Amino acid sequence: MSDRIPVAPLLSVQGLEVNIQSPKGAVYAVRGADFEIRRGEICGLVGESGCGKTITAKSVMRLNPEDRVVYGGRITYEGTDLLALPEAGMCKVRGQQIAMIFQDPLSALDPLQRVGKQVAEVYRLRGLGRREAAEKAVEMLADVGISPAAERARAYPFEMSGGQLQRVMIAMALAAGAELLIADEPTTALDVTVQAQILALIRELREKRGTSVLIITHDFGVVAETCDRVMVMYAGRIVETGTAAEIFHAARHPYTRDLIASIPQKGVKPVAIPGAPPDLREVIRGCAYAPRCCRVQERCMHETPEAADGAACFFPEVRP
Amino acid sequence: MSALFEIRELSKYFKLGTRREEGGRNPLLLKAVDSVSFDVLAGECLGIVGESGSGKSTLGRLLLNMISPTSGQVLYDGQEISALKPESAAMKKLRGDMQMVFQNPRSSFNPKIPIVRSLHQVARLYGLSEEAAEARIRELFALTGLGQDILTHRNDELSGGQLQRLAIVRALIPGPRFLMADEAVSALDVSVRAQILELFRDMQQRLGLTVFFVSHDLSVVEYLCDRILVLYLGKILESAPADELFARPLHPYTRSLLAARPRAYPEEVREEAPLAGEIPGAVDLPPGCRFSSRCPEMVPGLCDFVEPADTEVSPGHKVACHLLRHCDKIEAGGAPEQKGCEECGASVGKEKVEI
Repeated sequence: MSDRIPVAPLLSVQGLEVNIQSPKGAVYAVRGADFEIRRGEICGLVGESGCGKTITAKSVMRLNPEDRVVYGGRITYEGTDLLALPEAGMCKVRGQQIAMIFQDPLSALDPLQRVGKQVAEVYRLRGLGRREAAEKAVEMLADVGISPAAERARAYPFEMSGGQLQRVMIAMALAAGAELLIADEPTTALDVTVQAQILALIRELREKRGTSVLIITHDFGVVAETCDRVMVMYAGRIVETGTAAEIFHAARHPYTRDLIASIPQKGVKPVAIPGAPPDLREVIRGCAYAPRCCRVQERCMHETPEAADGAACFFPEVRP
Repeated sequence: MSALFEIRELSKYFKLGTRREEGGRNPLLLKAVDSVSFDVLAGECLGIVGESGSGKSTLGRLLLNMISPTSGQVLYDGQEISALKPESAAMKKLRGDMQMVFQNPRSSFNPKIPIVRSLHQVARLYGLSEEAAEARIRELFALTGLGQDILTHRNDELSGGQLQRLAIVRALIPGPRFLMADEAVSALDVSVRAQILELFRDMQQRLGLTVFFVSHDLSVVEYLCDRILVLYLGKILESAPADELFARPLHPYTRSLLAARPRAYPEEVREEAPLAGEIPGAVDLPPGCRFSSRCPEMVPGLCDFVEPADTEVSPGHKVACHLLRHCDKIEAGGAPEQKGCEECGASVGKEKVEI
């Protein structure tokens, strides 16, 4: 992918800051995240729970409760600054340009509506007639691997398995014509066998339709299966960006290296990362990973490293 | 090693209702566990893998006699505990011996009281005095590497990893011999998962615990367990020592599960196509092999008619599959694709067996 002519990215996030007001005080969930997603690319956003992955994704969709959230920085989608867009304009972006699927599809669907109707509703919103929308919905369900589609379209969400429901969610995203699909832990609740099927479907979307995908996950297996490029997030910042191969074999940030070393693998003893991520309600001085880092030095304690050559670290691993 | 648990033709059917059929009304049964036999050896870590709905958790609950089986026996140390009522005094006496760690540590601690009280409640339940409980908790905290300062916190102030450590401490309070872990690391982050796995292994070795580890994650089981049972719709399809199972998976289901595992690295080459379809419900099981409806190597007329019996292919490695049953001469060793029976030409793997 890297030898392509550089084109403007589909989505560009610059210095994103998200500050959530909560009864227990403000939470600085995202603290200056920078990344971009190019056309037709599958990107992974990985990190531990609470590092700001989901908040970042929801910020792109502007799905955070707006009365309690203060944004900083820019999120540009095809030249439009999404954070500056009024709600009415955002409604046009959601679904039609950027769609999102969630970890638990059962709670994302209307329990009282047949799934076919829910997919058809998306077509109705795009101005199609009732009958045409219903036909298109069945076609789309067949496209995402639901069979027999016509019959299953009449099922209610509770009658379908988690894997089937995730397919329905993907069908809805595609029906809306989204060019960017944000998948937040799409396979975490699924069995390995079904996970493999859903990940294959996501890869197929990119091949056939050129859909760009942002996969949010804590599972490096999912990354290895699907992603071209990976962003590693820690305490609200992107600490490392690289191609999947770079992240797996030649990571430069100590956090990325530690995360990969903590995965149980055949014949290799997993090494746990000592300590815990910082409390995002507090001000972090220096590098957020410094207290857990094996390469920490004096400088890391009071200066925040900026991203350079993929890694935001003063003392990154030198690539051979 | 002697057997701590002996499980003999154990079944658990759940009645979902009745159905009108010719000749009257018949019960509609969900066969969660269906005539399963195996031993849990003292001091081993036994892993149970399978998709959701395969009966893993039900099997675990039966072992601890938290639910009574429909038929069959569970012998604990030679005593038939499945004959005891789950709530009986005799069973309660044994509970301290066998403890459990659950998937979600947050929902397994009372959110309204500090952790220290949750732990003391358990200690009191097993007859420890206040002082003895305190000493025991301090000892276990030292053993598991937890800091005393978290005792005064409530569960919403602690991380998932800390809570799972506390859940393990709580399980160890009565000094059990047997620990059942039901998806105990599935809800945790990768970085924390390694810590908890390490703790399980450490506790097992130091305290000589027997562990029954239920998981859907093959990598976790591969790392932690000595022996593995592969469960599908209430039946054990394959059981083998962990190294053997991963080096030489013989049942098509086991191979599919392994193939469905996400790659460890982006460049890793996939050998087998991932399994199509999903696990059917355990109601109205098809005749023959339970896996036949999804099996890539299904032999029509055999697999969908006759239920395969267990074949012991090498010591401790049992497989319930017709492709093996057909020929008893398949030797141990070698990859299943290449190894077949020279006399009858049966092979395990790609080729179909002529019947």
